[in-house]
Amino acid sequence: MKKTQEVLLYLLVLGAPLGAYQYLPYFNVTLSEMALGLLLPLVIVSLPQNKPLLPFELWWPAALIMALALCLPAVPSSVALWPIAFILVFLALRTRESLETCLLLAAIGGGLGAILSISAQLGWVYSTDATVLGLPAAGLYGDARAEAVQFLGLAPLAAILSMKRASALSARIVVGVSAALMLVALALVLFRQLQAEPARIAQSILRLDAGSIAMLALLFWCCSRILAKLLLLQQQERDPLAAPLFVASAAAMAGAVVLLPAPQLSFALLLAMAARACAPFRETRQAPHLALWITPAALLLAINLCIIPLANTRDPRNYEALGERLLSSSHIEKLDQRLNALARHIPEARVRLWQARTALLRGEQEMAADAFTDAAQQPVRLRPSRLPAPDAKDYTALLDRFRDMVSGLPEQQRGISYERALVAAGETSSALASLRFRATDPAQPVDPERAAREIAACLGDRAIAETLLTWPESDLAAIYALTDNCGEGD
Amino acid sequence: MNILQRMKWERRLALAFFFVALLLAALAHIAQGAGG
Repeated sequence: MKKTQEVLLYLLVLGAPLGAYQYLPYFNVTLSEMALGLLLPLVIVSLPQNKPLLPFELWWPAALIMALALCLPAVPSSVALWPIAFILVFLALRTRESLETCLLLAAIGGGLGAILSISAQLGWVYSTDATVLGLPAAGLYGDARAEAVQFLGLAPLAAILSMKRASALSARIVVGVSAALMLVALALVLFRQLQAEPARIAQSILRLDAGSIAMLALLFWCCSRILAKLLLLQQQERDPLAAPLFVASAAAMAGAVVLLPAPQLSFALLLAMAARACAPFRETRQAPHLALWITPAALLLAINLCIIPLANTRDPRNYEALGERLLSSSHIEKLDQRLNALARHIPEARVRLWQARTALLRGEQEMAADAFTDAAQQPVRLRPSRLPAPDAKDYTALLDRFRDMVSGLPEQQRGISYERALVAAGETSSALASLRFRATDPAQPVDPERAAREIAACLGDRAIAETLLTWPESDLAAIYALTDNCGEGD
Repeated sequence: MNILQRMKWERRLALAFFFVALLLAALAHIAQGAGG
């Protein structure tokens, strides 16, 4: 059981700094959340043998933060994961060797996270789209501040660990490279993201509610207590782990104080490791080989870069799930902004289909038909798309919505947008049948050839003109009258 | 330094860090407010 706990710990600390890129495809949970969930029963079962060491001065703020997160509606309940992770990691870390391994893995995870963050910010991989301003967003989290705080903590930790002579040379090199990458990612986040998004960092303590302020005060107190413990550990016992952990925790805390990021697991893990270093270890164990843990995490990363299954609804890169959430809370304007930003960077069919859906909700049928046509006629690109391309069911669902929306409109306002969408979806015969059904009002006589050509052009398929020419002239004239506002959007 | 003395120093240091954090938070957020 001890070995399983260690394995889960390593996966947890390695996965946490990867943010949104550690989702287990089709399971809708992250690697670190899964590790935490499995660690919980193991730690509880082993509590009688492993006397709890967590000092009272640390567990009461953690317990209060958890209670506040669960009770206050203003605080996201995901914050409750923070103290749970803190307590679990503290209790599960039993040997000094596993703590050292965890620190190295956290530093390496931070390096991998830095590569992803840099790539996402430069547009090489799909990012989490925190922004609505049209910039490629922060890479790992939906919040650039959370990313800055993570790198602020892990970069100095990795830098100091890479200077430790006691570690193996290969580990020191890997950790040193990770530190350098994290510094680059941090600089990019600070100068590119945070400067570009002044509105997002203008979240001030002064504007928070009393519950959130109390929670922050508890968090700061917990951090302060750990910093004090680390300082005394360094002064009294000259522990080699005290200095890197003190610098890392202090930097992360300073970042958190100034930026007030969204809660993130890697900060809680760093504090748990720092707090554990201050308590005595009673057991010893041989440290495992690092490469063993990096390989599965790297594989998971590779999968996450290529696939974002629709089933992973919590992945911030899954705009389909976000769209459903925003629609259910009637935030259509926010969704529109987000989709426009997305369409500029990822003009894939599913984004355009979503734009068609929001246009329908706004009552802009011509725009909806344009977006639908764009989505339906988009060629299959060689580059892997961000979300799977929409299937026939998605198109049919939108066409049903379209039909419901236009059938509620008066005939003069209806135009032929629905029929355009039908033609784009390849249902030309349905489009023609719908037009013929609607061609009831008598209209001014027109030149049949010209009318057929123009109706066909409006529908987006010139080949239809030949079929239209076989229709009675009165029908053509009535349909021609319906196409009055066709092409106005061009 | 015995355990009681160590605890006392730990509390004092923690309070010092806590107030530094509060000061930093106040300065950062006042500066942010002033900057718009």
